[in-house]
Amino acid sequence: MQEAALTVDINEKWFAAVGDAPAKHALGEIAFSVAPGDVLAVIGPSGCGKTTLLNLIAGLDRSFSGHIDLAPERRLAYVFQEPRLLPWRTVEENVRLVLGDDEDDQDRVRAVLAQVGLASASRLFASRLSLGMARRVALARAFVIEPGLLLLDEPFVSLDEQTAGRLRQLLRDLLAMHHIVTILVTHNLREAVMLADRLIVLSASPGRLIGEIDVPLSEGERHDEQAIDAFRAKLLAEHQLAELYELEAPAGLPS
Amino acid sequence: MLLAVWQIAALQAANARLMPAPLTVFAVMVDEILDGELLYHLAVTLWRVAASFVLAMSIGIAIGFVMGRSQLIDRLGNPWLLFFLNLPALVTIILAYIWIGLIEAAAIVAVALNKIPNVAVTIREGARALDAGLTEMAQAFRVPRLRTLRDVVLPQLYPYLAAAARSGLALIWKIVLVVELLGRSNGVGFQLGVYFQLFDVAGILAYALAFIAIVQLIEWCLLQPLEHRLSQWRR
Repeated sequence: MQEAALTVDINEKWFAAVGDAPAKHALGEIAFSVAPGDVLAVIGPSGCGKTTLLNLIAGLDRSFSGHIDLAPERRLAYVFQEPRLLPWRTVEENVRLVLGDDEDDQDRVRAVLAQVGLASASRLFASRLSLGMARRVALARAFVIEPGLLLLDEPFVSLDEQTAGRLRQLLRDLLAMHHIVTILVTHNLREAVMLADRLIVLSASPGRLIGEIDVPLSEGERHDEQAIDAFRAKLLAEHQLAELYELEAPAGLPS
Repeated sequence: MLLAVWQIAALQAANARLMPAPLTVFAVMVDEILDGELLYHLAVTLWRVAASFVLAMSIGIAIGFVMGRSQLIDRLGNPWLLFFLNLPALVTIILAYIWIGLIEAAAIVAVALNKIPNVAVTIREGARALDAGLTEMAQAFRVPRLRTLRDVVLPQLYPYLAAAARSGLALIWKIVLVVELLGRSNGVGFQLGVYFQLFDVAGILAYALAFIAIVQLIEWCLLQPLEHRLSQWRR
């Protein structure tokens, strides 16, 4: 048994009352561990606290009961739902922001920008990018530090399906190349099946862990839309996920 | 345009001493420059403006930033801020001279005290409007504090800093003149007082115009190019 790269053991998480808003029970019991190289997808109905869970793992919010242990040598990268770039900096400067002084070398930045297909856009101000480009910069910023743990929060939401599909493919290639422990939050079950080795299923709010499902698809099957759809259908039937995903649009993934 | 109105007014005026023509004022200005008087007093005043400006900006920025980030400090400090905002400049000046003495430090402190609340209020707005998402991003990636301040926080404050600096300069140089009139024996304000006693309107206008020209020059050569560079990304 390999040593876990990350262990999550949350009892509960509350948000304190603010003004007229009452205190909110955001998360219930959630415990799982992640082995080196694992790609996890966290799925669950909207509003169940998926983003809150990522923020706890990232250390952005420390007021909860329980433990989260990340192997200390693992650096953390976070791709938020919105790209969160500095609009007053260029693409290249945005990527360099997260590098330490000793690792700030131009070749490294250029290489990662080339990987996400932005080599020619490196001098553009981030304020001028399309959403699809900005999301690619956010991915480059995450990969440039060669993270030990990558958190992704709906990284392709509100993109047109074609762009989202291209970026999913790009993320798959990057993950295959770098073998990074990854936690992906998504409401898109196809996306989860395509990218993840394991699914973490949360209940409706307050989210607690109600299932862990392995995704034993081969690299080839993950390229195959029919295999993904078949596995997704099997999941919906066997794990009572249907009611969680009633509202999901039946649109397919264009290749 | 302004010059034409002035020339016509001067021609209509019964007493040329009270409403001198532009050329007369210009001649006085050249005279004063040639004997070194004007430049000396201008330099003294500019030094006071610069010193009070730096003092007021640094203290005002610190107070405003802390008040914008902490609700507790904001609640505690707000009554004080309101008090100093509404305190007439003249009162501060007189009290500073009485309590500190008729010295240079009193003059600078008096001017700075008048300006600090305005700077603090402007910067407080900026600190409140900081993008929490970007701060979280820097925190998640463990960007060092100093670099976060320089690359993430400060650029968001630039518009507020520019606004505070611009209105600051305009207010400060006007108050510096009053301070000089009341308790200093050099500077443009002191000279204006002398010419007032002599009823020499040409002298008053010569000094006033020379000073306005300098302030305008600072705006064109320093503030505007700086602002242009910092707002490049918006275009």
